[in-house]
Amino acid sequence: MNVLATLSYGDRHALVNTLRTLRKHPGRIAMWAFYLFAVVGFAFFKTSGPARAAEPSDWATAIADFWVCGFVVAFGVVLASGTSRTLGVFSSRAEALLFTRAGVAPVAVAAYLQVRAVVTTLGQGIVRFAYLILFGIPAGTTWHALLAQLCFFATAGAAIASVTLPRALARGAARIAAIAAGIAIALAAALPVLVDVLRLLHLPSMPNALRHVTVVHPGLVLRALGHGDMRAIAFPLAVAALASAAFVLAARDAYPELYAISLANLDWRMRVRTRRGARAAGALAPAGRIGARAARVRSNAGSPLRGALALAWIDTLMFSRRVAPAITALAAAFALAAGAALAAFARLGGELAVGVLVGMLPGFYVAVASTTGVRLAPAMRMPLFWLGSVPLAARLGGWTLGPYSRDAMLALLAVSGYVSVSRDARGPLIVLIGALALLALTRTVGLAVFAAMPNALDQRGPAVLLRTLLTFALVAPPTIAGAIAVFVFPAPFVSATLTGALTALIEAALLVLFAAYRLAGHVDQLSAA
Amino acid sequence: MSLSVRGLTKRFDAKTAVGGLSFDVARGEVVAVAGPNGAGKSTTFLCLAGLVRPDAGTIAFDGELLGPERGRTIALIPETPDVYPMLSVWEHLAFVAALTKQQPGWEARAETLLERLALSAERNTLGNALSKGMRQKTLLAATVLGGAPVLLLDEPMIGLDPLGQRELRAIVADLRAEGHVVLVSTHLLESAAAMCDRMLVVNRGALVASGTIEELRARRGDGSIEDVFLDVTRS
Repeated sequence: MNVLATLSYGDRHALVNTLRTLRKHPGRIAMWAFYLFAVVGFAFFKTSGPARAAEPSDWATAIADFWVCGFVVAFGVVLASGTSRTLGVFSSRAEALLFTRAGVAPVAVAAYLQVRAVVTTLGQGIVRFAYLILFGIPAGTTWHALLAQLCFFATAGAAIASVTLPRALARGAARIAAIAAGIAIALAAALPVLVDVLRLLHLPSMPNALRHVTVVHPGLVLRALGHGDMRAIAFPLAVAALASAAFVLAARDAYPELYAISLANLDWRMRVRTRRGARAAGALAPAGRIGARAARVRSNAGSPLRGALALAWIDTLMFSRRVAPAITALAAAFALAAGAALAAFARLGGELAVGVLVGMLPGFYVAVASTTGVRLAPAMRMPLFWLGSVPLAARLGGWTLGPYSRDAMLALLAVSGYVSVSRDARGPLIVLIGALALLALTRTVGLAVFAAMPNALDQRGPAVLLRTLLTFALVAPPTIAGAIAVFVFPAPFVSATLTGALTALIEAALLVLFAAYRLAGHVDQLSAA
Repeated sequence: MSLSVRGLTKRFDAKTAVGGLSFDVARGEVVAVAGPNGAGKSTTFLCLAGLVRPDAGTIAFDGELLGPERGRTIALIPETPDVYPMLSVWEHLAFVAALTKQQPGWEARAETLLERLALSAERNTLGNALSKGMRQKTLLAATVLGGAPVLLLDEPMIGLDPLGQRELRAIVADLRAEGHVVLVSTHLLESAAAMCDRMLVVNRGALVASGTIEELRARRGDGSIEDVFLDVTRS
C-alpha cells in the first residue's frame, strides 16, 4: 500500500489540483454536468423503448459489426505500430528520475505504469467516445444488455491499452511477429465491415458476388452479451491480463528502454504540439517535408484581398505550400469522380442509396469540420493576427473563410461531376446551396464552441457533444424558414432553399460575433487551449 | 504627445497582476519595463496591446483614449516571435500591408525596412527557416510597416547572440529616432540600461521605481543598476 501511495502521489495531487481549478469555473462544471446528463439520457433512451425485434436488421448488424471490428482493428494497428507515439510511460523526465530512485521494486513501478496507462486510456476513451458508443447501440436494449456491452467495450479498450507497452518493449523476432500479427488482425477485422457496406449499398451487380463471401458478423457478440452470454468479455479481458503480465515481467530489467520510450514519446508530443500550432496558424508542411524543401520560395508580390480577407489570402497561400499540388489535384479529381459516380449509380436505380449517402455526408462533415475552432488558438497567438484596426469578428470571419472556400470548392466539384452525368442541374444545385450554407454553419459552430470553452480537456469532452448538438439544433431554423417560404413564395423549391440558406448564413454570422465577443481581451485564456 | 497609461489594473481571481499602474512615455522615447518574475510585466503588455481586457484604467495616445481594438496604434512583439512558417519574409509584409489597408506604394517602404533591418537577402526565405533574430526582425519590419507608433517588445534579448543583441539595440535606436514609442520588457538590466532612456521597475503589479538610468543609479550613489533593482524589488 505504501508503494502505491508513493508512486501515485504526483498523479493524485495533479488530479486534485485539476478538480480544484475546475471548481473555480462554474460554467465548465455545468458543461460537464450537461455532458454526463446527455450520456445518461442516451442510455435511458436506448433502454426505455420496446424490446428489440428477434432478428436484427441489416443496418443494426452492420453498426454492431462496425463497433466490434473497430476495436479489433484498433488492437491490430496498435500491435503493428507500437506505443511510443500513443502512450506515456514515464510522463516526464522528472517522473523518471523520481520513480527510478524511489527505492521501490522495479516490478512495482512497471505494474503501476501499466495500470496507469490502461486507466488513462480508458478514462480518455470514456470522455471522448461514451456518447458515440451509446449512439451506436440500437434502441430497445435493456439496462442489463447495455451494461454488459459497455463492459465489453471497456475490456476491449483495456486490451488495446495493455498491449501498447509490451509491444514497445518487443525487439527482434518478437517485434516482427507483433507487426505481422497486428496487420493480419487489422485486415481480418476490417473485412466484415467492408462486406456489410457493400451489401447495404444494394449494388445491382453485387449480390451474386457477395453470395460467395462467408457471412461473419463479429457484432453478434453484442447481441449475445445482451442475452447474458458473458463469454465475449473473457477474451479481451484475457488479452489485457496477459499483456499486462508480459509487460510487468519484461519491464523489471528495462528501465533504460522505458526511459528511452518515454523520451521518444515526450519528444513526439512536443513535435505534435508545435506542428499543430503552426498548422493551425495555417502554416506548416507535413513532418519531414520542411527539411527536404527549399527554405526559399518565389514570394507573392502582394495580396489581392484587403483587410480581414487578407487572412483568407495567407491561408490559401500557405495551404498551397503545405499540401503538394498533386494531392490537391487528386482531391479535386476524387470529388469530381465521386459526384459522377453517384449520378451514374442513381441512373442504375440506386437513388435510395445515393440519397442515404448524401444524407449521411453532413453527419460526417459535422464530426470533422466542427473542430475548426480548436485550431484557432495558435492562429490567435500570432502577433501579426492582431495588427491593424480590423474588428475581431471580421478577423475571425476572414480566418474561417480560407478552409471554408476549400470545402466549398470540393462541394462544387462533386456537384459538377454529378451534373455532368445526370444532365439535370436543378436538384444538385439545390443540394449545393444547402451544402454551402451547412458548411458555413458547421465551421462557425466550431468557432463559437471553442470560444465558449477553449480548455483542451473540455474540447475533447463536452465540447464534442455540444458542437454536434448545436449544429443539428441550428439546422432547425433554416429548415423551418425554408418550409415557411414554400407557402409564401412562388417556385417552392428554389425559395425554400434560398430562404433556408440565408437563415443559415445569418446564424453563421451571429456565431462569429459571439466568438469575437467571447475571445476579445481574453487571449491569456487561450494558453490553456 | 505620448502614450499615457492611467490606473491600469488587471486581476486574476484574488490575485492582482497589475495594480493601478500609471506612466507616460513620450514619442521618441525608449523605456525599459523591469521587474522580477511574476511582477506583471507581460500582463501589462498584453493589456496595453488589447489582448487581455484590463479591469480598470485608461490608455491614451496623443491625448486620444484607445478602445479595445487598438492594433493600429499599439503592437506587441512577444517573447517568442512567432511568424508564419510557410510565408516568406516579403509575404509577411504583404500580408500586413493588406490587413492594415496600406496605400499603394507600400512596397517601397517595405523594401527600405528590409534593407535597414538587413533582411533584404532573406526576403524570399520561409518563416520556418528563420533564426529567432530574423523572426524578430521580420515581426519588427511588419509591425513598423503596419504603422503602429507604439511598439511593445517583450523580452526581446532572450535567445539572441551578442551580434543579434547589438543589431536589436541599433534597430531600437532607429525606431527612437523616427519618433516611435518603444517599451521593452527585460530582465537584462545592463542591456536595458544601454538601450533605454528610462526604466520603470514594477513589482507585484505596482510601479516601485522609475526614472532615467542615471537617476536610478544615483539612488545608491555608486551602485549598479542591478543593486538598485534589488533594493526596490526586495522591499
